[in-house]
Amino acid sequence: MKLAEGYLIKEIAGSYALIPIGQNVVDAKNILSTNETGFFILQQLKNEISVNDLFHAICEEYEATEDEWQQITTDMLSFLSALREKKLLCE
Amino acid sequence: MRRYRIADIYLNLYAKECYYKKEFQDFLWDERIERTEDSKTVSICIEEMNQNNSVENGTVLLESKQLTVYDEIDKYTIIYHVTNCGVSYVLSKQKKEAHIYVNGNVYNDEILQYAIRDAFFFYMQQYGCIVVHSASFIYKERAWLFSASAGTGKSTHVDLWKKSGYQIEDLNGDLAALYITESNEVMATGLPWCGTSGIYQNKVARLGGIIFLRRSDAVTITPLKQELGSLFLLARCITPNWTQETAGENAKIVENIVKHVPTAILYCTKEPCSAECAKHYIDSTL
Repeated sequence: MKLAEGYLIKEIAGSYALIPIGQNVVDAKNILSTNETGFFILQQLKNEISVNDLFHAICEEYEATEDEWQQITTDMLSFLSALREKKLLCE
Repeated sequence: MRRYRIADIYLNLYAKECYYKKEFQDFLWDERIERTEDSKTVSICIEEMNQNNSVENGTVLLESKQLTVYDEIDKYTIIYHVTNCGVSYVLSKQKKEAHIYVNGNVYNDEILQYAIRDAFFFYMQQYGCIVVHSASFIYKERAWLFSASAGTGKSTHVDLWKKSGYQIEDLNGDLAALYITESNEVMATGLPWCGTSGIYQNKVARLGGIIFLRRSDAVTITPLKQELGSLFLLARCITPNWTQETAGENAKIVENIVKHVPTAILYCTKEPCSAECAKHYIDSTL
């Protein structure tokens, strides 16, 4: 899976945003904001990545313990599902 | 050629007499005043359309009902789809130079003015300037922008200030340019383009702040944190977001601006108390 084309992922004044560019501006797509973890996931999704590799990347980035794996999985899948709903994910 | 000074940038406009608009007159640069060598300049040439003005090896960057932007190696070409518009233009990637091609026999003057405007905005961004969709005025020597999507009531709100007798001076009814000086002051300037409002002035003032309008049943104003203010402002910029680079440039300028000026969201009605509420907030920031 990969983030859809036509977006700029950018930290701006302390907020994390997904900014539509080019055709997405014409198509009236909105700027989306997220938190730091969401921003990290979006960065990973700039290149093709599997769900499994994404999970490992998050665990490594945040030095997650085994106790936190379940919560990370739930949150990650929920975030991916939200991206999918907004047609922001290419699979 | 005529030279104008708009938002601290010189516009050299090369055109036949018939293409110069009266709105530009107020922005004419007085050649008796010396310019510095490093002055920021944009050149726009309006030329006759000929058969060579076609797109050669471009890819479509974006396409709307009104126009298509083609990305070519060394330029962008913009083709309008409006019937009988007789206008297209090319933006050089190497130089700050645009060529607008007009079919002198049949052309749409409104589209021509859009082409001049948008070509200038494209290069303004490269000089660190953004353009914000907003109605603006000067109050107590500071410029204030009221920004919202079309139909929200930007002009209505500014009219409320006038009806309430508050001492304001119009800057622009539809657009304002913002840039930061070397001494980190955010400046707001008028532009010769103002939508259908007819309100424009060649004025420059320090920016006091930006207020985003939302229609509501009750009047209240909420100051925004920088992170939210920056996203609101970014969404209201009309300088191009065509590519990663240009969108990034808008974001960089916006980020710098919100570091220096307050932003707020005004939930407003058509009643004078909306202007009173905004004025109370603005006075508290001075």
